Amino acid sequence: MGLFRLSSHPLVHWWTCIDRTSFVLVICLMAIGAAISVTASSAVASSYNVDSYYFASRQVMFLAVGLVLLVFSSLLSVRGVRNAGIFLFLVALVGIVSTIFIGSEIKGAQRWIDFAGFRVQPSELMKPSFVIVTAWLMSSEVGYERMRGFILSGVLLGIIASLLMMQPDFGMFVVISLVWFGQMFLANLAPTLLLGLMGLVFIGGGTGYVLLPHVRSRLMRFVDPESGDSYQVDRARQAFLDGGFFGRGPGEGVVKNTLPDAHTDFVFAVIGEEFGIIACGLILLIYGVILMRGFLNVFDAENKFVLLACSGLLLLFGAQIMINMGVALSLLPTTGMTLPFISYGGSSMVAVSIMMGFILALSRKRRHGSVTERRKY
Amino acid sequence: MLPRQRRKDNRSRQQSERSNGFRFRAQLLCGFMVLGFAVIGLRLISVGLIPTGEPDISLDIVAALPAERGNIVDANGELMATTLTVNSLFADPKMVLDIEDVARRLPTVLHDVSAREIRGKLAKKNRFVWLKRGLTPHQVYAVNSLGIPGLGFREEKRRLYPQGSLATHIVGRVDYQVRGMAGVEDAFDETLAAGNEVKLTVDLRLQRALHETLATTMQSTGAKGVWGVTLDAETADILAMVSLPDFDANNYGNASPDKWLNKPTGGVYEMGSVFKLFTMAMALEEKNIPLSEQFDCTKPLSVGKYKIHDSHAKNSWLTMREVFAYSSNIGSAQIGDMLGAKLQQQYFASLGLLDRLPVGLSNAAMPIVPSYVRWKRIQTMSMSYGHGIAVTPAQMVAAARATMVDGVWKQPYLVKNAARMPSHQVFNAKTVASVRELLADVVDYGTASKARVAGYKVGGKTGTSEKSTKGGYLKDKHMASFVGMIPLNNPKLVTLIMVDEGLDGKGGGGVVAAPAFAEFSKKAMALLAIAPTEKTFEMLSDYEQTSVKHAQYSNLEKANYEAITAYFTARR
Repeated sequence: MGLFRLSSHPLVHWWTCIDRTSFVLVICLMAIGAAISVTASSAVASSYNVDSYYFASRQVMFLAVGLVLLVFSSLLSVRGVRNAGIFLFLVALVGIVSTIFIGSEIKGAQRWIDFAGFRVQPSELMKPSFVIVTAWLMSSEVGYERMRGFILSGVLLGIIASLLMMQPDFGMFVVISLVWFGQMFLANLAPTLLLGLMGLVFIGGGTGYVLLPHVRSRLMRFVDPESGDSYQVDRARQAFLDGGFFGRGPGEGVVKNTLPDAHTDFVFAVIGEEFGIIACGLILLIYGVILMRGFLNVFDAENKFVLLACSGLLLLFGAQIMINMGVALSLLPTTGMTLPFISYGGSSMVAVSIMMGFILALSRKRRHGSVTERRKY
Repeated sequence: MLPRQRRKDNRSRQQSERSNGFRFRAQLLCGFMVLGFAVIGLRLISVGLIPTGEPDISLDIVAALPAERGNIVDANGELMATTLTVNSLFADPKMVLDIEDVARRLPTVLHDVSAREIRGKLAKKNRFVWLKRGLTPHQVYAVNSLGIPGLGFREEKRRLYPQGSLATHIVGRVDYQVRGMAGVEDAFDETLAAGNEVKLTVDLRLQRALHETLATTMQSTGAKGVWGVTLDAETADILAMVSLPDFDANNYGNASPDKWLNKPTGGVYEMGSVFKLFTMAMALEEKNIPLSEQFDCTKPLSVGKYKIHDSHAKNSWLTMREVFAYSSNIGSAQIGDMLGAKLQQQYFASLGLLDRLPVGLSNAAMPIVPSYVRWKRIQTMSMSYGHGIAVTPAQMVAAARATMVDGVWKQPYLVKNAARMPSHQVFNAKTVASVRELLADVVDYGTASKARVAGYKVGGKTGTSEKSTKGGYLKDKHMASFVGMIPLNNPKLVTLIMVDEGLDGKGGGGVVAAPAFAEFSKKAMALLAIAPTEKTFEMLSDYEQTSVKHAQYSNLEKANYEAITAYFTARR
C-alpha cells in the first residue's frame, strides 16, 4: 500500500483521497440495480412488445455511462464542481424550456425531449445542478453579497418551479424546493424570512393542488384510499407481504406484471417481493451508510461552498430515496421519483452519478484544492 | 485521518465558531434524515410482515395471468355474455412503405375498411394507428397473406352477447377496458372480473316469449315504448324483463341513448288504477270491510278545489267488488280517505314502494312520493287510485306479487344465490283470498276481459294513467298497464306489462296491455308445461256461457242489475 500511495499517477492519487467505502457501496448499488433491472423490467418489456431484455440491456449501458460520469466528476476540484454545476444548470434550464416546445408527452406529462435517439428528461439534471448553483450563490461571507445570492437563487427557484408546473412535474418541484430550504437553513438565513418563504411555497403547492387535477386526485387517494383507484399502492403493499423475509426468489415475483412502473417508481416493491425485506433493509442500510459518511465529512468542510453544496446534494440524495421508498411503502402519495442507481432510466442514472461524483469530489481529503497537486506528507 | 484531528488545523477562532453553528444545523438536518430512514425501516417491517387485514388480492392467480371475465348465463345455463379473444389490426405508419399499395389491397380482404380511411390514417405522424378492431381468424389469415410491411396484430378481449337484443338491458355492457358499465356487467363487475360465472334467475325461454309478445304489441299499437317484468310467483325471482325499444347488446355505441334506459328499473311512472289493488287489500286487512259494502259513485267527488272523476263512470252506488272491477276512482278515493294518510304511508313503505329497490342491476330509480308533510288528505285520495305517486315497474310488480300471491313482500332479484333483503308479511291469508276474488272479477266481467287465457283462471288489474307534463296531465296521452297472475288458484307467474302511448295515446290498460298479458301467459304456460285446469268462459258452449252470465248477474246486488246489463250490452 505504501508504494502504491507513492505513485504519482492522478488516478492513484484519486483513489487514496476519496471516500473509498462510499465509492464501493455505490458500485454495489449499481450491481444490484443491474440485477434488478433484468427481473423487474421483463414484464414491462413484454407489455411494450419489445425484447424482454430490452430494458435490462439499456440499463446496463446506462450503468456503464453512469460509472464513467461518477469517476470523472469525482475527479473534479472544488472549483471544477462549481463550474460543472453552473454549466449543467444552464443545460438543464434550456432543456426544460425546450420540453415545452419540442417535448414528447408521456402519460399526460411533457417532461422528456428526444435527443439523438434517446428520451432525455432535463429536470433530472436540474436537481443536482441547482443545488450547486444555490451553494455557489450563498457561499459568500459578505452580508450583502449573500443577500444578493439569496434573492437570485430564490428567483431561479421561482422560475424552475413554474417551469416544472407547466410540464407538470409536481414531485420534482417538491424535492427541489425542500432541498433549497435545507440549504437556506444551513446558510443561516434569518428564520422569519425562511418561514415566510415556506408559506409562499405552501401557497404555490396549494395552487398546484387546485390547478393540477392529477396532483389533487393522488393526494386525495392517499388521504382517503376509498375515494379513488389506489390500485398501484395496494399492489405494492401486497408485494411486500408476499415477499416476507426472504422473498419469492429472483424472477418469481408477480407484482411487476400488474404495476406499470415496476422498473422505475415501484422497483422497491419488486425487490421486496422477489428478495424479501431483509434485502430491502440491506439496501436501505447501504444508502444510510453513504449518507452518514457524507455528512460526517461535511461537518468538517473547510469552506462554505463545499459545505452548502455537499450537504445540499446529500439532502437531495436522501430525499429522493425516502420519497421513492415512502411511495412504495404507501407512506407518501404516488409521485414519479426514482431510486438512485437502482431504478431504470438513463436521465436519472446520469443525474445521480453526477450527483454522487460531486459528493465524492467535495468530500475528498484535501489540503490544497486540486487532486492533481502532489500531496506533501 | 480522523475528523477530530483535522479540527486541530490552523483556523481562526471566529471561523471555528461559525463552523460550529453550521455543524449544529447540519447535524440537525442529518438527524432528520436518520429519523426518516428509521421510519422507512420500521414501515418496511410492518408492511412486509403484518397483513393488511383486507382480503388477500391473491396476486398469485389474479396478477400472473389476469383471469378471463366470467360468463353470464340464464337459469338453464344458456349463454348470455362471454369473452372471446380477437385480433385487431394496427399499422405503424413510419414502417409502411407504400400507402397507396395498402389502400388498394387491404380493402380487398377487409370489405368494411375503405381506401380513403386507410390513406387518412396512414398519413398521420403517429407510430400507431388502429386499422380495424376485432378480426375473425379468416380475416387475420387473409391480411397476413397480403404480406404488407408495417401492419401488425394485437390480441384483444372482446365481450360478446350471443342473445343480441333479447336481454340487452339485463346483461348491460362493458367499456373498452372490459369493465362493467351497465346492467349485470356493472352490478357484478368484481365477480365477473375475477373469472366467476354469474347465473341469472332469468329464463331465456320466457324472456323470448315476453320479448316477442311485447314487440308485437309495440308494432300493432304504435306505442312509443312497451315494457314488462315477470316474477316467479313463489320466490319473486325475475324470470323475464323486457324494455322496448331496445338494441343489440353487441352494438351499444350505435344505439340512440334514449334506448339505453331499462324502464322496469330505471324509470318511474304513475301507475294509475293498478294501485287500487293495494287500496282494496289495505281496506280488507285494516277495516275488514265486506266486499258488499256500498259506496256512492253517483257523481264526481269534490275535495277542496279538486274533483275526482271516473273514466268508466257508472253514476250509481257501487259495491266494493264493483268499485274494483269497474275501476272507480270515486269509490277508491273514498276507501283511501277512510284509511287515512298514516296507514297508507305505512303500507306503501311495507310494500317497498317508497324507497329505491335494487334488483341486481346497476340502476334502480328513486320513486317519486310526496314528503311526509305533504302527504295530506287529497294526496292520500289520489294515491289510492295510483296518481300523485310514481314508482318503478319493478317495485310495482313486487308489491303486486305480495298482495296477490301470499301476502309476503319479497325482494325481486335476477341473480341466483344472491343475498336479498329480508321478506316480511304485509297481508294475512284472508285478505289475499279476498283480493284474488276481486282480481278474478276484473277479468271475468270487469275491465280486463281481454286478459283471459283459455284453460287457465287469470286474475289481474288494469291501469290507465294520464301522462303528466309540467303542471298537469295530458288527457290524450295514456300510459296503459296490466298486472296479473296465472293460474289464479295456484299462482306461477306474476306479470306487469306497460304500454306507453299505445293507439295514438288513447290505448287503455284493458285494450292494449291486457291482450299482451294474455298472449304472453299462453306461451309461458306452454313453455313451463303447466296443464290447463279450468273450463274457462271461452271453452264453454254457448248455452253454458249464457247460464254462467246469469249466475254472475244473480250474484250481483239487485240495485246494480240495470247498470251491469247496460255495461255488457255496451261492450258487445
